[in-house]
Formats: sequence, C-alpha cells, structure tokens
Amino acid sequence: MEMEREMQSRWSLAKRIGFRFLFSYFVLFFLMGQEIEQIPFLGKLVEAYTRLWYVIAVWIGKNLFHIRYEIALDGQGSGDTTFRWILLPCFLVLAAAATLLWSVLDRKRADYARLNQWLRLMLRFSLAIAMISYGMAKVIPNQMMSPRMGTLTQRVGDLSPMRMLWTFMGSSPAYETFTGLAELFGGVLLLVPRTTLLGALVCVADMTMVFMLNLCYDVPVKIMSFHYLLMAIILVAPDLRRLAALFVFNRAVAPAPAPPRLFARPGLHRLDGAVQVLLCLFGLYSIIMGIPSGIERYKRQNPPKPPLYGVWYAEELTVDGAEGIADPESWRRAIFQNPGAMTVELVRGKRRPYALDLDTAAQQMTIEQYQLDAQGQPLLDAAGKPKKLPGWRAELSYAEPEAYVLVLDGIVDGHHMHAKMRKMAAFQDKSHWIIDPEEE
Amino acid sequence: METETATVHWSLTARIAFRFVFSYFALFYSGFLGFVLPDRWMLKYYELWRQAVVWVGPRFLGADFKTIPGEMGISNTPLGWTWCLCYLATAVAATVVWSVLDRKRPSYERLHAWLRLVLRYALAAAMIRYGAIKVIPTQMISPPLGVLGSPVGNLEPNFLLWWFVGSSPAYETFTGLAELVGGLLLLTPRTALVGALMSVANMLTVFLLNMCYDVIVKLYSFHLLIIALILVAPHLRRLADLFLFNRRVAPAREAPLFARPPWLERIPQALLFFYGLYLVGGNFAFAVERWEGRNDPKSPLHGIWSVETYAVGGREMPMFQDPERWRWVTFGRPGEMTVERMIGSKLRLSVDLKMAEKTILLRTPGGGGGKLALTRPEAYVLLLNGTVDGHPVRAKLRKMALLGPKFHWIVDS
Repeated sequence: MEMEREMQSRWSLAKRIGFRFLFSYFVLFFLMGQEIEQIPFLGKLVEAYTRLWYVIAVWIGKNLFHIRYEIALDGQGSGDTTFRWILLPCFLVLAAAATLLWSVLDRKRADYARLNQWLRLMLRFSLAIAMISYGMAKVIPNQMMSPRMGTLTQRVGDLSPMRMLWTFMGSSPAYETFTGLAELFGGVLLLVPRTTLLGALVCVADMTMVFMLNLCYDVPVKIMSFHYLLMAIILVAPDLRRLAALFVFNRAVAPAPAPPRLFARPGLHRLDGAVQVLLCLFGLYSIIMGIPSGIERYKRQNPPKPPLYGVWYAEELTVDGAEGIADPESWRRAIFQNPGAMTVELVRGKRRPYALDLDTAAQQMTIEQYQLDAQGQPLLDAAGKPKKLPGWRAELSYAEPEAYVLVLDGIVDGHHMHAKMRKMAAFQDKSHWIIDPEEE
Repeated sequence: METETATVHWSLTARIAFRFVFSYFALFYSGFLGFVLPDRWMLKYYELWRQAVVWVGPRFLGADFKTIPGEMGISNTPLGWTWCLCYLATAVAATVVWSVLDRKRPSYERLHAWLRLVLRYALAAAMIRYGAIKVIPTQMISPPLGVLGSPVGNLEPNFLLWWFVGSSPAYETFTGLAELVGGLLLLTPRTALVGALMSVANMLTVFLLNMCYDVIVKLYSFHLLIIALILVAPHLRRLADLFLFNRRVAPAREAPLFARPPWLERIPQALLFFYGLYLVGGNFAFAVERWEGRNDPKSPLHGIWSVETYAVGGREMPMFQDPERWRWVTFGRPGEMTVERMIGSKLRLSVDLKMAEKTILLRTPGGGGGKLALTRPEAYVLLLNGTVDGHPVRAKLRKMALLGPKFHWIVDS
C-alpha cells in the first residue's frame, strides 16, 4: 500500500522540470558516449551519429566561437578536445529547449516514475561499463605501464604533471591492480538492482578520486570523469534520505519501495526481469572479454627481461689506465632494455645504440656499433638488417661481485676499459619489512 | 526503559575475541594513561617493556638487533616488530587467563562501549593529525630543485610517492580533507559510523600505498585500518540490511558507559568531542607554522630551465655535440644562477637580477663577468642575449615540464 501511495504522489513542479532536463541531457550524452559503442551492431550507427555532430560542432565552432584552428574529430586519447567542449554547450542548450517544449506539452503529467527507471537503467549501463573497462585496464596493470628506460633516465622535473601521475602509478603494478579492483567492484555492483546503491556509492568515492587526479595532474579526461561522477551522484540521490536516517539521525530505515516496472502493459511484465538480466550478462561479458585481451596486452607491453636489464651508472672508469670518468667521450650510463641490444650514454650526453652479443655462461659481451644516418637512426642493408660499422668492436668480460654492481673489463675500440657500474635505484629490488636502524 | 538492562548474551567466540582485542589495544594505547598518571611512572613502565623486548628478541626470535637510543613502542624497526609480537603474546596470555577466570560473564557490553570510546579517540586523533598536515600541504612538499634535477629512476619508491603527492598541493589538500572529515565525524557518537567507514576507505588506501611504495609506517597504518574495521564491525548486519537485503534497518543501540544516571553518558562523549576540536586547532597551528617556515627566499626566476638553443659568437651549438654547451640553467636562491654543461660540470654564477630593466648582471668564479638581456616571450620561456666572459651568448630556455603549465582545459590530441 505504501508503494502505491508513493507511486500516486504527484511530483513537485521543480522535480518534474528537473527530471525532464536531466533525462534530455543524459540521453544526448549517452548517444555520444564510449559505452553505447560497445553494444554489438551499434558501432557503425554511433559513428555516423558522431560524424553528424562533428559537422554541426565544426560549424558552430567556426561561426559562433570564432575558432581559427582545425577542429579534430579524434582526440587520440584526449577526451577534452575542442570538439567535445563545443558539444557541451550544444547539449545543454538543446536539453534546455527540450525541457521547455516538454514542460509545455506534457504539463498535466503527475510524475515520471516509470521513465525515471529507464534513465536509471541507462546511467547504470554507462557507468558500469565505464568502471569495468577502466577497472580491467588496471587490474591487469596495462593502463599505466611500468616506466620505460627513457622515462627513468629523464630528470624528475622533465615529467609533465600527467606523466608524473602515470610514472607513479606504473611503478607499482600491485597498487595499480588495487585501484582497478576498487573500480571494478563499483561497476559490478551496479549491474544488479539490489546492489546499485552500494555500487553507486563506491563509484562516487572512486570517481571523486579520479576526477581530482585529472584536475590536479592535468589528465585530459576531465569532461568524462566529471560526467561519470555526476551519474554516480544521480544514482545515489533518491536514497539520500534513507542514508541520512542511518548515518546521521540513527532512525529506523524502511526498506526501499519496489520501483515501478519498466513496461506499463501487464503482458510485458516479464520483460522487466529480462532487461535486468541482459544488463548483468553484458557486464559479465565485457569483464570476461577483457581478460584475454588484457593478458595479451600485458605480455606485449612487458616482454621478458634480458640479463643485466636496467640502467647502470659508471662509478669508476679508466681508459688505458687513465682516469676517464670526466672524459666527454667515455661512458656515463649503460642501458640494457631489449635482448641483443644496448645503449650507451656518453659523458657529453650523447646516446648511441649498439648491437650486443651476451654470453652469460662465459660472462663475456661483444658489442658492435651500427652505422647511423644523420638523424641517428641505424642504416639498413639490403636484407633490412642494420649495418654494422666495420672495424669497431668491443670485447668485455663482466661480473656482478655484489648486488647491483657490474664490473666491466676489456677492450673497447682498441683501448683497454675498466669500469665499475651501479644499478639505478628503480631497478633495485628492495622491500623493507624491517628497517635497519643503522642505515637510517 | 532502556536502563532496564536486559542481559545480553554474546557467543563464546565473540567473548573470547573481545577479550583479545581489548587486551591488545589496552597494551597498544597504554600511553593514554599519561593523561592521568605522572610522566615519571609512564617512562618507568615503558622502560620495563623495553627491557623485556630487548630480552625476548635474541632468545625467542633469533633477532640480534641494534636499537636506536630512546626507541620505544611499535614501529617497523627490529625492536618495534619484536615489541609488537610481545604485545600480541601478552594479549593472548591475558585472553586465556581472563577467559578462565571470567567464564560466567554473558557479555561485555559496557567495557565494549569504553573500548569503542578510546578507539574512536585514537583513530580520530590520527586522522586529524595526518589530515591537517595535508590540508595545509606540508607533509609532502613540492620537489626541491635538487630532486627535479636528478633522474626519475634514482627515486626509491617511497620518494616517488612523496614527490608525486608533493608536486600537486591541490591534490594533497584534497586527500587531507578526506582524512580530516573522517576524523571529525568520529568525534560524535551519531556520526561515528560514517566516520569509521570513511576511515576504512582512507586507511586502506594509505596502508596499500605504504605497502606498494615501501613507506616505513606499514605497521602503524595497519593498526589504524584494523581500528576502523573494529568500529564498523558491530554495524555490519545493519549495513547489509540496507545495502544487500533491502530489509528494515533498526536504529543502533549503543550500550551505556555508566550503569546509573543517563546524563553521565554525555560527559565522556563531550570530552572526546571537545578534545577532538582542540586537536584540530593544535594540528592546524603546527601545520601553518611548518608552512610559513618552509619558504626560503627564492629567485624571481626560480626553477630549472632547459637550454633549448644555445649559440656562442653567433654560432649555434646543437645538443650533444660540444661538451661545453649549456644544458640546464638553475635559479635557486636570489643572487644565484647555476649553469650545467652537457658534460655535467657546473658553473656557479653570482647574479644581480634586474627584473625591471630586464637584465642580468653576472660575475663568474674566475673574476670575469657579463651582462644578459632577458625577455620572456611566453610564461615558461626565457630568452637570454648578451656576453659572458667576453663571449657573445644567446640562449633560449624553457622551464622544466613539472614547473610548467599545470592545467589545460582543452587538449587536442
């Protein structure tokens, strides 16, 4: 009976107008979103629809906002492109106009309880799919890769704020997995009507964090993350009173009334359940599909590491017995990233790629130099292989007398070189359950 | 009617678990007795524990550890770990003795209420303390020039975390607010549950950060997480009723702290509340002091600048060719300018920055000097043109990325 009373109670004017606006705006937003594209067979249709809006946005950008530069359709990873920014006021104005028209034509309606269920279904779908795909990209730590040699040898100040965030996240796969689980958890809970409230609260926490990170570290996904946060808040909103009763006023909380059915006609009641099951299945499908592609991407991004993997600094270096540490032409760093190759950075800053033949049994390395073109790229021979510089050759023996120390000794281009090198901190595998007080 | 204490029966597991948790945290927070007992006694008490811990370590754990003078309590040092294990063992022993002697008691409602009060205070104090020094962003400072100039890979994981947070004061303030709000909500009995839930979320993140980035407060943050979970635990069924089963949720009924007059209840609660507010004041005063003390005088051009183009005597010197080419220019304290060459060697100049006249007058260590005209075509670009030690020098400098533009509304690809 309570349920019926609830359904019959008339919505206030403000609530009806507010609903019309939210509904119009989020339908426009949904149709352009990344989530609708994932529904099978809709990809082409969404693409055509996006192109239509692109034409409109370019026209508006040129004529209304007087934008001189080329407006790109594809942001290549950026969600905050000029195109997407132009769409925002377009959608706002269009939603306002729709609200006005709708409010005039449909002024007699008491409430939108049923349509509200459709809006909630749409928001749950969008947010759940977004949380699942961002979550899966972190659970299998792919979104932020562990920092490459290029990043690690750069100076801290050379990182842009966003690269700082990426480097930070990428350097601990365990932490990245944890944040992914927090997102996945929120997304999965949204798939079931019962757990939607809890899921939406988890998403509010997650997306507040993500939105703040995007603002503070200048990640160009500000528009989308803000909308995901809004969606989560809209999903929580109807239960705010019940949450306050529990968390603030310590009053008894009545169970939530059963929501109105999605379909009015009695013959279609069974479809209600079917739609919910479909949503759930689609969510699970996108998780399961994400696993093999995630693993494959992880393997591609993290190939097996060759011996000596890492960046090594020259601590002591002599050439033909003479001190060489300050000589502009001697080695400052040796970098081993890929099998069969190494890079040497000279004291004067120049880096050169070399071919490496490593005999781990004999602890011997043979290094050959490539012929480089003016841009510093290796010249290729007829077979497409890089050409080696004839006459240049290094034969070195190597040893690791203690952890993170590499001693090289041998002949480099006719000169005897002896070097003691130390591994960069980022490649040292240290974990401190216990702190040694003497070290501090 | 509520005072009519209907005897509540706890399960055997619940009683044993309570005895253990109570004993352990009584030991862990025995320092709170310092509020009422003289410092002399407290020092003596800890000294006894310390002697016990130092005695136990080598005999039972094979841990022949060295200690830092004056080191006390649980931490991630060998002494601290042993101390923690000693507390655990003592709590287990106490639980056994207590369970035997007191086997007839049906429940510990009142003692539980007191335990919750103490744990709320302990957790709130920690959240407020850590919150305040992040809201005023002084726990992690923005990376100093020495750090900005060193390679990323040289950072150990805990430093990477520190400089990551430090490089965005706004983000640090945000995380501080999350901690502070959690702490404040713990101060009143009404909002303690939501405060504890926020603390669980916060401390879970902090604990995992400490584990994943090897920060040295692993044990302490784990304790705080456990405390937050203990505070949430009695409400789990009500939370499940709301979030999972959609059943009616009854209001929470906290056991009274005292047997008699109900008004007495309010006194410890009010003390907790006002002491919490006092902590907010004290911690913010401390944070503000740190904030004000942090600022060394800085050059108007403060920062590290990358030398993008460099010409001597009209001849462009490309990167990497000439070891003497300028690579980086650093302005630290006023009057200082450091040039780092390709080869890594440094040239320290004393300078007189005349920002109004857009010139730099400089003196080199060898007794020479020079004068450079200074223009800033963009916010983060600096053009220098003039002579150094008699050589005509022209350079285009760009501020390092982390010191550069911090916010872009629009990013096209």
